[in-house]
Amino acid sequence: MNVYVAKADSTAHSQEFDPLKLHHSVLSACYAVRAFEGEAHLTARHVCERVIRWVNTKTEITSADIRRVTTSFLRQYHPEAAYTYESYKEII
Amino acid sequence: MNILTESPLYIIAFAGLLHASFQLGVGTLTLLSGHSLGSRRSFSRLMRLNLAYLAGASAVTLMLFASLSYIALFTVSAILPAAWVVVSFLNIAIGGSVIAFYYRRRKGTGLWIPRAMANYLQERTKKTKHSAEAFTLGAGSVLAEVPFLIAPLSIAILAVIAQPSHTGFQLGSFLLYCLIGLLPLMAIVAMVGAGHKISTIQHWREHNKLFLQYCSGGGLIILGVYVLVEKVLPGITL
Repeated sequence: MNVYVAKADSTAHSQEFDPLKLHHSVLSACYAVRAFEGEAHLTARHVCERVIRWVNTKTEITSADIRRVTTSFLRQYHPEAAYTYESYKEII
Repeated sequence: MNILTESPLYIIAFAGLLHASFQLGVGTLTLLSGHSLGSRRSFSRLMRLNLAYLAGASAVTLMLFASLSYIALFTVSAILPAAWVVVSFLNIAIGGSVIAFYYRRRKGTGLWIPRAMANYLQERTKKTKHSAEAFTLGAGSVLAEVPFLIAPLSIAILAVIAQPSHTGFQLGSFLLYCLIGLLPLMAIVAMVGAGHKISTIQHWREHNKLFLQYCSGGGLIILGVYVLVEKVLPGITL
């Protein structure tokens, strides 16, 4: 897929959407709330599949869009990880 | 002196409590713990980083108190009444600022610091892998909050130097202030070590942020007014 992500920092160039990066970030959010390894991998896989299906309907998206959509899908599988994923930028 | 009713230890302890209510250090430590857990670091590495962060914050708090006390002893002790006036109005002003804009007006626990600095702290926290880096982060978080910390710190310093010189008392006051001021960081380190989730800690901080904001702002104003009434007004003869 060739979907481009406009970064929140407007001085940075757009990057191609990387599902592996998304998978790692969801995995980190699950590990941060002490989820079991199998549970974390399964959650990350399901969430990434749904986000990729959503991304494939777009040509360009922002990093804020990815965060919002990922949080909404993650909330259905692991609400605590979703809260951590969503509030990461608002801790300080 | 009646130790129970006239001791400045109460003022110092209250100032330490107000120091403890500020959240930049706590937020950064929460973020550091979250990143360490998210990267699947071992428990010993997680605790080493957290303890190094706590050590950094403790070292800078101790050094700030000690160095400013030493400077105040030689510069301010001769003009103590004027210093009390300045410090009381400083506390009232900073208390009002805390109530007005300590937390950003949106979801989460985003603080007053410029977004560029917050992003920089987030990036540095994410890349912290060694104890030395965690120590520097802890030290840096205390220094970054000095614009607000100067309020309770100045009152505690004046309370210490206003007393007759007695090494035991000064050392005890100094340790009391730092111990109380660092209690939240110690609590976070203990909670993370005991297995509590970062989301639990963050939930608590978000749900109680207004309470903390008004308590610390109100507390600073109360302390400023108390110092004005107790130390300044009795010296004014009409």
